[in-house]
Amino acid sequence: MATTLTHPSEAPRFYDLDEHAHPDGHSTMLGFWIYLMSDCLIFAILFACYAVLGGNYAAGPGPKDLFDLNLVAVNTAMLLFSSITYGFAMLAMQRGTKSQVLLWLAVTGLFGLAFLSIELFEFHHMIHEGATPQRSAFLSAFFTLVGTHGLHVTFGSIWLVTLMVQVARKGLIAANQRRLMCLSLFWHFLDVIWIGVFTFVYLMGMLR
Amino acid sequence: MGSGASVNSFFGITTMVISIPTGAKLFNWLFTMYRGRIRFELPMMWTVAFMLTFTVGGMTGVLLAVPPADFVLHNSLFLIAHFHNVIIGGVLFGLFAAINFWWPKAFGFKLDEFWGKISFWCWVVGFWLAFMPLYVLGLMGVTRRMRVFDDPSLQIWFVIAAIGAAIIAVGIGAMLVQFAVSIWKREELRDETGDPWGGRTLEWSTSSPPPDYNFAFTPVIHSLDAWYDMKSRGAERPLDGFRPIHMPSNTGTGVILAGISAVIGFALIWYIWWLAAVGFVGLIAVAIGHTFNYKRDFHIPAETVATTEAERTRVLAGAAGA
Repeated sequence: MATTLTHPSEAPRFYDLDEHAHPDGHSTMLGFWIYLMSDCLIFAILFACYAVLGGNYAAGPGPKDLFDLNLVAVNTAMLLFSSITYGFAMLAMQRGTKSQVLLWLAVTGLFGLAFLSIELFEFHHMIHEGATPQRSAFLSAFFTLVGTHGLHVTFGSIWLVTLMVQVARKGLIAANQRRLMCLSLFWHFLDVIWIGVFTFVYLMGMLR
Repeated sequence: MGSGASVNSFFGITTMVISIPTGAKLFNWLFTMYRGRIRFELPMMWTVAFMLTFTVGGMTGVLLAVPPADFVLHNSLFLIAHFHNVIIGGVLFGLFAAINFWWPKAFGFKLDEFWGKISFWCWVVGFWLAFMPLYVLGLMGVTRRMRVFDDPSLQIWFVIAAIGAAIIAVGIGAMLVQFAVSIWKREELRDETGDPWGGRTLEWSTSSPPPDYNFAFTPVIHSLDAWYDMKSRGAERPLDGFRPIHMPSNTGTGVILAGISAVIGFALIWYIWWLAAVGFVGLIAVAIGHTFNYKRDFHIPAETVATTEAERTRVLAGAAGA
């Protein structure tokens, strides 16, 4: 059982007497990736639900009756633009110009807000037409999947405002740079999820 | 089972498949004992009870995996006996083994053996007496959650089960007494070596309870059972050259968030919407507030480490002398 890793002629060293560097937040990125992948599982389940239930209209309205692809195209553009502008904020962070980071974060936030407003308008419109989550299994799955994504964008926006305050107060210190990296991953992740929603829910819904 | 053939076969196959890794795990555990010098102290007793009970529970689970049998046994007392067999045998007995094993590491004194053994025997005997009759009743078609049975021939099995339940109650009581007596006699039961069982893994190389920093120097691992290897090759604790140890700061945020989440859960279940809303806003506020705390770490000074380790050396010398 006792598999010795050292050469038998060497005196075994049982304690590491040297100093160890534990840089602040050195494991944050790994942890955040693990979080993102667990979040990915949530969306995988919701996509699977939609795939199973998405055709059950209960004699109610289907995608063709409800979706306005022009509106969704504008909505998608808002989110894609916000990802680009977040990228600009990260470039500004690498150059170390705080004011530009704040500016691009603000622009990103505005695009995020536009996305949320359009989504809420769409939801409001559908519910007004009687296409509520209770109407059919298709609509339950639709509102759960798209709503969960929207909630993520909402929390991302709250996070973004918080980070803007922190960057304004403390500047681009290492801790804040790490936080900006995490939010960057989160924001792009939501973008990727939205590509899936746009393709599987809206585009393929119109083909059904 | 009101499901169709596809769902039944899916659940049947997955239930059977899960028994394969579980069986493999049982052989793993048995092989950790094989040709070992087994001492029947409380943690080992609970572990053996866990393996035996859990195996029987697992085997009745395989019976339930057969869809034709499941049609008959679904929602019967057979099912009740099965899942108590795995939960009590698999989770609870394993948990009790762990509590008896690691209690001295966490609190610095061992648990009382006499009351521990009374608790053990009452729990194990009471468990088998309480739940085996339920298998019989389930096979005779008794469903769960019935208030009255017209067939008097069933009565005797319920009586046996009730006696078993009473014996389990004694076991629970004895365990509470075991904790109380152990705390009362903690000076007698004190573990000064940090290694009360002659352990093989690294947690037993520290004092009981361990210092805040766990290890003054990071141990270097040469074998699977690192502490056993260190002991058998005469590893010496370093007694000087300590350095400041980098530590994460304590924070109450996790507990506070959990508390607020409990309040939100309560409010949602009982439709107290205003409380749920207040809790939700509070939850986000606390989480955001926490991110404004940038002082996340500190160093334990080298002198503090030296003092703690010197005290450990003194206690170890006393334990060796006694």
